Amino acid sequence: MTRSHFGHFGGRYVPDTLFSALESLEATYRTVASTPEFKAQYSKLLKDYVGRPTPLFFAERISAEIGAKIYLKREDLNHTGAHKINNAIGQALLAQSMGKRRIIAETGAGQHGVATATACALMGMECVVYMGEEDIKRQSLNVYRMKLLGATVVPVTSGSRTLKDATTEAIRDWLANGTHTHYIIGSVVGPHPYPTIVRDFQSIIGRESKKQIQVAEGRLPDYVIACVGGGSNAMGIFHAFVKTSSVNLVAVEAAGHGLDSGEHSAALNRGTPGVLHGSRSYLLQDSFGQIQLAHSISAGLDYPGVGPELSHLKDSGRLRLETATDIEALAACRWLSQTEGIIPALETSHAIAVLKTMSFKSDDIVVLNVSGRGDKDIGTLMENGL
Amino acid sequence: MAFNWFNTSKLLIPYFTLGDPSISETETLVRGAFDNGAGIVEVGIPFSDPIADGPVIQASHLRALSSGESPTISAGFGMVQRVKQDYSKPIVFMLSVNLIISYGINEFFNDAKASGLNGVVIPDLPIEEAGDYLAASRKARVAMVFLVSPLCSPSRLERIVNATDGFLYLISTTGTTGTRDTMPADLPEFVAKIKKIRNIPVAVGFGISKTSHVKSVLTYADGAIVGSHFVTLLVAEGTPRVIREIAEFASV
Repeated sequence: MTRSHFGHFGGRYVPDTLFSALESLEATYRTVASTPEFKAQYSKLLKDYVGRPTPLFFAERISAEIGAKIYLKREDLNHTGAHKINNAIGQALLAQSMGKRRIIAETGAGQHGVATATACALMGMECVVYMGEEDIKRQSLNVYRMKLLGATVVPVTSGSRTLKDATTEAIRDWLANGTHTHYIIGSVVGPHPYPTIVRDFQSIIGRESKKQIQVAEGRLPDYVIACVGGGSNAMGIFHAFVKTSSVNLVAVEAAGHGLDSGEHSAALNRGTPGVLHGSRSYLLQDSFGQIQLAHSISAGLDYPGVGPELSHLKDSGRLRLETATDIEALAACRWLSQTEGIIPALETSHAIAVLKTMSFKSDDIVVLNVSGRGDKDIGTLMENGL
Repeated sequence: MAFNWFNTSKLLIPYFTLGDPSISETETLVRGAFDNGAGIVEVGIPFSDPIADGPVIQASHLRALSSGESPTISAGFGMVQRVKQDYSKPIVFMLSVNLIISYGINEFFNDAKASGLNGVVIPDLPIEEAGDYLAASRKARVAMVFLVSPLCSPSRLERIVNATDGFLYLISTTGTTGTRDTMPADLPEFVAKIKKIRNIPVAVGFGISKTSHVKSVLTYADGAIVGSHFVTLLVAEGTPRVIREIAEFASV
């Protein structure tokens, strides 16, 4: 069974037109995804195609510098270079079992778009990706990859021309084509059952990490750290640890030009509850309820909302909230590149950055989710003089 | 609750976005619409991210939000209060749920009542989440008008039809608001299905752009809602042209 709300958050705030599609998705998910056949098919693809399990790497040099045991969960080593593929493959399989041959998706940085285009190419399905015009400019490499994979990339020119508007446009497409189209949402946002489905498909990250750290250290970690935009890599690694209160769950949001600058993406830190894109969660909005523009140097964190389950975990005191600015993220990207030989995505770099601002005890065990690799960000890194 | 907006007549229901092109022009349009045969007027409060609306209405919202005025709920109540001094015909707001959450649910319905607003359509508020809104609206005697689409499951349809006040807003096609060339053929059957559950007025919206659409819709439904078409016409040819079109649509 899936639940539609997380405390006061979540729900299904959508026009009636979408209800039947959401109900059929929920029913399919409940009946199909738990069958041994589906699980076997999904696990096989994760292993043989995506390359799972991803390693949990003990980062010796940064551990020595920080004064704690830092382990990196290498989601950047997945096929297509980020955690997004875990969900894209799972949902594409769901679409297959619903008999839907057309897939749509929204994308910000392009990682989810690439993952979805990849899954569609693999399964021979039509793929349409909505992407803000602004993000298309920032992430031209990923746009090319999606096209090479056979997807149609539709530039979104409304509003701020970023992820928020791409999501609105994808929902519109689904409103018109829901009977034969499946919408693969890329994060733990949107109307029920999406936040649950995406979390479940991403929760492999936390399950693997839990086993791997037990093998390496014989106990659970003291901290699990992840960056948060919508929250899919964070919920993916947190989920296995939520019920173990000794494990601190650290959610790192993008502070952009600074939390007080008004130009950031820190919905958990500075947002208020409201409804955007079909569910109730923390949002960046003005006093009239108009959604504000988010800012982050990383296109993947540039979203004014955050998932409902993370909103609930915040209210129940389960999360430790941290932030990193654009400048701190850039410095962290260089730091990890030069100390461990791993170039992280700019999204991930925000999580890396807090290793330097948090204080740890020498026997603390930290697991940090390296959600993606930085190749897509090389242009931005060069522009910023890295 | 009985609102009896329709009695036995068929109504044309035009839609305008508050503040597109200005709040005073919206007021002129509302008054002009009532003078020229509109039975109910629907006023959209602009929102930055309206998921239920098509590109035409979204662009209208963005124009209103960037006009330099503040086309807020309060500004909408102000306009309603002025118009209602001279007109008794119903005015309903159409707005995204987040604007009401931000305003406060009880505050919204209390102030709506004080302004003389007759009803509210909240396209992204499903019946499952509507408990607090229904309680507050009924206390204030402001109608909560629900939307359904022909894709609605039988059990949800029954729940929505029994909950709606004033009328039921039937989305004529799947998709968002916007104009279309032809109207779907299965609507009369669906309206009959609704009336069997409860004999309430049904107004059809989304996609009506021609007198022939209005005529065909009103053969089986009680109201025809016209939004994107008037908004497009307003931008292209201005208020007097929209008022003439309303007179023409209302005379079918």
